[in-house]
Amino acid sequence: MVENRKAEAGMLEAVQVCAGYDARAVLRDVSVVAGAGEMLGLIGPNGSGKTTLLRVLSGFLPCRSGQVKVAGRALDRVSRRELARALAFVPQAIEMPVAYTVEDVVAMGRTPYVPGWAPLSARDREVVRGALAAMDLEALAERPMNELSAGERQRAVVAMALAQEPRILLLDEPVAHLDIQHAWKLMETVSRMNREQELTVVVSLHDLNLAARFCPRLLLLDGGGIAASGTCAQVLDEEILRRVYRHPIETIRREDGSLILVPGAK
Amino acid sequence: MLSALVVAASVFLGEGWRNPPALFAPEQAGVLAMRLWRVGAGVLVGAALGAAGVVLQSVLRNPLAEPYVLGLSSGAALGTALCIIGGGALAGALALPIGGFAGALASLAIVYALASAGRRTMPHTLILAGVVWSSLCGSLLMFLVSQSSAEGLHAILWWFLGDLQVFDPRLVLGGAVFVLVSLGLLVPRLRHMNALMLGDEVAGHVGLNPESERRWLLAIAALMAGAAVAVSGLIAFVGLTVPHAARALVGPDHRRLVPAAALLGAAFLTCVDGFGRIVLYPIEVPVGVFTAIIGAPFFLILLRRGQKRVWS
Repeated sequence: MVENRKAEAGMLEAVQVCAGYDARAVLRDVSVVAGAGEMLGLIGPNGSGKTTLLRVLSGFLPCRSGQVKVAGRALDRVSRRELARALAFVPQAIEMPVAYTVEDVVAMGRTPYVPGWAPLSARDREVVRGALAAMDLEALAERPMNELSAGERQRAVVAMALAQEPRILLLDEPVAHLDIQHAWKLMETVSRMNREQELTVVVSLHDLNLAARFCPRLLLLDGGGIAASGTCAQVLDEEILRRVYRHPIETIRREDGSLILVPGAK
Repeated sequence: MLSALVVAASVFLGEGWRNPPALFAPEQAGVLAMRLWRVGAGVLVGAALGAAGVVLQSVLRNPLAEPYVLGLSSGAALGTALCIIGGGALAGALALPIGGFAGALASLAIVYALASAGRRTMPHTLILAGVVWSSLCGSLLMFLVSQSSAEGLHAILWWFLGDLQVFDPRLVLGGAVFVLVSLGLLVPRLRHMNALMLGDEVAGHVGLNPESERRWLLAIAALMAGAAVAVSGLIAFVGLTVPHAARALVGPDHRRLVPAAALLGAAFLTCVDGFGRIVLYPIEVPVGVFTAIIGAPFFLILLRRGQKRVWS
């Protein structure tokens, strides 16, 4: 019974969602379920609706029709504060007009837990320290954000999201500006938290190899609709990929069963 | 600490400043009371302008924003002047701050609407709209001045320059009520201001409603600016220089920044006012003249460096 409720808390669901900006419709009738503790990868060409889907799932962008449900409850019936305790979002880029330190930024993740006037409690500070440690940022805690490299800054933003103690973590192309080492490190950390803490993860990725390596289940978007959904083996099919990306992509299966994707010549 | 010392010291500046102990002589009690009221007004106005400056800069995410530049002060002045002419001064000590608040709020709404005609509010458009609105209000004020009696002329003009002389202690008390109420409203939002700095998307994801937070904070800034103008007239640049100085001192965390800017504003204004009382002794120079002399070059430097994101 307890196990069941725990599973519910981390579940994120979109039901026949249509959404867009102003006159432009981006998502058309998209339904997807991320079960509690699942790690779901969103892939697809530029403009296929990955970011829009994440924004809808996070509640930032309202649906035109359809519904998003968090832990079985419709999103528009959950207060912002309550939602921020259950779900955290790592945007592609973060604005930083003044020089906050890394610790300042990570502490902002506690906003949904603390009254605006009160100082952080001992437990809040502990959570912030934990989030800094999880992203390997202890040494950088006092440094201003704008002095950091792109990789360090991205880690700080992820740490801020983790300080929200979410059951669900959404990441929008978190490794877009990172080199191979930092990209892998970030994905490994997120993947480990997914496995060890049953954190539900939905992550959009451009790098198909990273998606194949870290996401047990993938959703391939094309033109605002779902082109394919399922395990890596099902989605990363040469025929499907050629159709969606309009470019030949060779999939190589290694002995251990993992996939390597290589873009071919046209 | 330092602010308190500066405020205390400025009590003695002015007539008889060469001989501080004489101020406590029984026959000088009236002078001392006047001086204390005046310093009180300085603390009130300086704190209000400093805090309002921080709020405006942060909420509009524009390092050049301040009540005077955005036309809030001029709007408040117009509102207050209309109140004076309409006999509002007789209606009680709260009438003038209310007129100031209404003027400031209306100005803010107009300037904000002008600047956000496109999809995004551009920082420079906002300043431009504020300057235009400010000069329009200034012209209307001048019109009112030109229509008023010669006797009232000096008082309005003096007030227009920004002056801390207290004609009616009730006005200071009324202004204090406004400033205390707005500070009370501001305190629970200090942490939210930090998150708002990172953009609406981030603020939304940590559980805030950015649009409603912004409206509240802007209204609070208008409340403070309106009260400050009602008490002291137009005092330029305190709202601009003080927040930047405070940010350099205590960093960008608003839970420290807002109190620091309020204290620094109080100390700065009482200090400049005291200076104005003695520099051309026995002639007094309105405090607004000096803050502009100090503030204008600072503003120009900031404007020049504006493109390079001085903030980060």
